[in-house]
Amino acid sequence: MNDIPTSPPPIIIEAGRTERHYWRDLWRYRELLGFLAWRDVKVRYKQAVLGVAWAVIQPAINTLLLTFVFNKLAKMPGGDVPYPLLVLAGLLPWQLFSGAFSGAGSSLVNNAHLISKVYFPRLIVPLSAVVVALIDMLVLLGIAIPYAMYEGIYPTWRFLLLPLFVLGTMLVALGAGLWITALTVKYRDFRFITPFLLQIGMFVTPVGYRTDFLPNWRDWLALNPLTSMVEGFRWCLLGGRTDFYDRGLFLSLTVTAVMLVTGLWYFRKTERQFADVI
Amino acid sequence: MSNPVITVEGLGKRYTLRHQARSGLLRDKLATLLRNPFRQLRENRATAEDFWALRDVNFSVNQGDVIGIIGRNGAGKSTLLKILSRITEPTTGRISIQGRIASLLEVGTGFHGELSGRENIFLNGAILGMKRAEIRKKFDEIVAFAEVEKFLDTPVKHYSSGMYVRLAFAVAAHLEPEILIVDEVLAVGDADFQRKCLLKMNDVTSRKAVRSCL
Repeated sequence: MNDIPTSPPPIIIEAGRTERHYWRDLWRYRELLGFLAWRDVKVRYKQAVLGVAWAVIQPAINTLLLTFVFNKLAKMPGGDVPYPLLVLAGLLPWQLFSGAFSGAGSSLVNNAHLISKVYFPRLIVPLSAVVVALIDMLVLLGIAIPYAMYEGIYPTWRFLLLPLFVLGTMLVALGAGLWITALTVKYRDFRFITPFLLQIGMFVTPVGYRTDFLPNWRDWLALNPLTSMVEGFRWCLLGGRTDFYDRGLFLSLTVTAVMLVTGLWYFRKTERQFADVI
Repeated sequence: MSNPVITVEGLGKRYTLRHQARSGLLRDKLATLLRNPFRQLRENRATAEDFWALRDVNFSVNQGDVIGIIGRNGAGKSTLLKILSRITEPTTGRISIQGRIASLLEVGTGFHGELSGRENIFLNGAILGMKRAEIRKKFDEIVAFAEVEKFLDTPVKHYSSGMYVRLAFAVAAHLEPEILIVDEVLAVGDADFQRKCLLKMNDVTSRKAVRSCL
């Protein structure tokens, strides 16, 4: 008995058995999560002349484009907030979501060589995609805040609540991401569906417009869990110049919880076969 | 009686072979389902054939044993190791493993061509289940073993294939698991390096180990 005093309980491998130590393993492999995210961030801008600048150029162009379409062409009102700033505050959560979602979708397939050769909780892979998207978002936030101050909007106490909405957005992204990840492993069709879903998502999420000026549509828009997150980001960053819809938040959190729970369930259910079908 | 570290009972792994182009594409599934919901079930049964890669495998490994598994191509050696290392799940049977397990089914798993040798040591180590502190402690040893000091900060995509596998093996060799599963990875490097690997393996197996050289 005193041979192996510190050895953990035996690992039992059986057909159809769900890992009892799954969550403990997930914690044990947390460093791998960091390494995978670090690798993806590090490798992304290699051999790109402009390098990290792309993390800023892309959203900048998006901001101008959305301002042009919604403000100049569609004549949407911006209230007392400069329109580009309104769009930028909406783009922050949107980029966090879309980066995590598309990253998660392709993550397992891109890491197929790992999946078929080493054991680790597969959940690490989509999770690392979320972490990568978070890092991108923080870079963009570092640009957005000085820009808001330049426009005369300074952070207020509301800014302190921003982490909650960041977390909320990450959970939405994880819930949707788990579904798309597990589905992409089995059906590569979802590689083609993902960009399409994101295009639709960009318009049903109020990135380019304000929901408080669209009272008839508010409840419908709130069914999209990201709507509340976008509103939350604006409310925190723009010092309460935009309205926050609490019924929308409740709806959003409910939808998020459902997506997260079902996403986890489906992921865990299919996870054991990943190595065979990938 | 010494206590077994690994016990395998009635292990089986079944793969389903699908003949004809009955692919798993969503399009095909939807199409057949819409065309004739009942026929699809029947057809699936007609074209699928079971293939048992492993069937009724029983063995146990005691502490300190070094075991080699040999067999022809397609005998199921790799499948067995994949199941033991929890990459894929068995169809039947039960395995009980006591102790920290590490498996090397391939050298350089997770190496990224754009990253430098130094970065890959950390990445690969983490993938194999080492802690960051552990890797840092053994870093110099790994580098010395691989003989790549000069090229530590060069992206590994510029490495010669010999350097690449030496580095990959060096990381793997410095794992300190209680159970080590190895799949045809010793065939790397030149004769000198192979000898060094074997010595290292002997050193590792002074603890308990399972090993399979294919």
